[in-house]
Amino acid sequence: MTIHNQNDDEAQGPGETTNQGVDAGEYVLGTLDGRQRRLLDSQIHFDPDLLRDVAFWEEHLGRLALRLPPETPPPAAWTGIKNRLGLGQYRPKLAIWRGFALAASCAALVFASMLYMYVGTSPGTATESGDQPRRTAYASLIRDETYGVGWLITAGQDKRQLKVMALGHYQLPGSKSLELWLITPERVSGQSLGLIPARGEVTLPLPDNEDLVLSDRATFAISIEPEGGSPVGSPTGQTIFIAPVSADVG
Amino acid sequence: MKPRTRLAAQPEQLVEWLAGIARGNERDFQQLYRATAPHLYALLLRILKSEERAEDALQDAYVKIWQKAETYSAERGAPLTWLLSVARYRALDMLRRNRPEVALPEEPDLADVVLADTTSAGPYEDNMTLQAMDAIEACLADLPEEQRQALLMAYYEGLTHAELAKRMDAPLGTVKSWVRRGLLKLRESLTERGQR
Repeated sequence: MTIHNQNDDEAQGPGETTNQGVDAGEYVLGTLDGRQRRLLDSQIHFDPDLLRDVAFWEEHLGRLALRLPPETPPPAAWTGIKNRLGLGQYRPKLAIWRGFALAASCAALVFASMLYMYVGTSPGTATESGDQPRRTAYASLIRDETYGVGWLITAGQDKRQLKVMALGHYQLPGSKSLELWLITPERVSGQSLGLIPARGEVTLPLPDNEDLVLSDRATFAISIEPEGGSPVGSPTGQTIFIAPVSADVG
Repeated sequence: MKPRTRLAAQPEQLVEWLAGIARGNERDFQQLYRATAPHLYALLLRILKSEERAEDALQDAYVKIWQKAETYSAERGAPLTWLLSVARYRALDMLRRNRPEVALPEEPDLADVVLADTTSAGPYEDNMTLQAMDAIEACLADLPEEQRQALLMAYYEGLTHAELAKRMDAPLGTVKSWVRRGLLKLRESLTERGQR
């Protein structure tokens, strides 16, 4: 993929058929404007040539940083990192889910995961039988601040269904699907909850399995999979979002 | 400019620690931090020009490194330059969001300072890194002055095209051309030297 730059004609030498290498260089330098950077951000993980070009520039330009004399950071920096990551405390082993692939080489992408708990005052969802409205017991908002897209995931107290609502329209490459996973301490490899839409909403059944219980120890993840979902029952593509599940307030 | 300083760890060791971090090994994470944070912090200080902001960016960078360690592979380049990229992207993000807060001191001689030190090789443990550093510096030195200055100021200061144009007192289109032409020539030179 090549970004057209008004100065390409001038900068592009005879015989050059692409400026992708230069685009990647500007991406790494940080001189692309916001629109151009977002365009490359959206393509970089689906274009091996672009990824290779970006790696080329990161490798070579990065060596310039080694010309600077090292500076010892203040001790508080490490303390802050440990606290933010909860190191030394219990946490689910999420190593295999750490592939925030879309964030690789992407400074502009900022994730914000927020947790909402609708306690008794939540209007909930009225049932056809006229029962009392069910309260929403769990909810997670997965949101990409840069692109303004995300998903709101909610579940009733019965934990039988999840409602997944796309907020905005996620730009998904062709022949790809988005798959939602539930990760628990007992099932760190994750369990597919089904495909979710790039826009609109879907209701997904929750598995009736004691090691796949929604709780504050569980985590949602979204990965990009081949059309129709992972063929092997575990993620095969890039994990683009991870968000915690709220505590049970039921 | 101080002489080159010793790298804290061999690339193979950094790769091993990154693999450990991907498995959730906190000890490996701490060792990686100790070995590499001074390099990342120096770059962040240079770009952000504020100890407080550099510390914030350093924390953000290592949180991200913990989260995405498993995405590192040899195809992404040397481990230290990959780590530096994570930190630098974070710094650029902070600059773009808060540019008005950032003072931009006039340091027009930065590029000269950086390249003037190419002969003062210190006790680098990693000869491949040293050779690669020499390659990028030699290729940069071969560029026309304006192109070299534009690239180095963009790298070390995190300047946008418009900021470069102001600092270099040149039209925006001209500066854009300097950057793109400089990158094109730099890539050609590095490729000719086998630095792919």
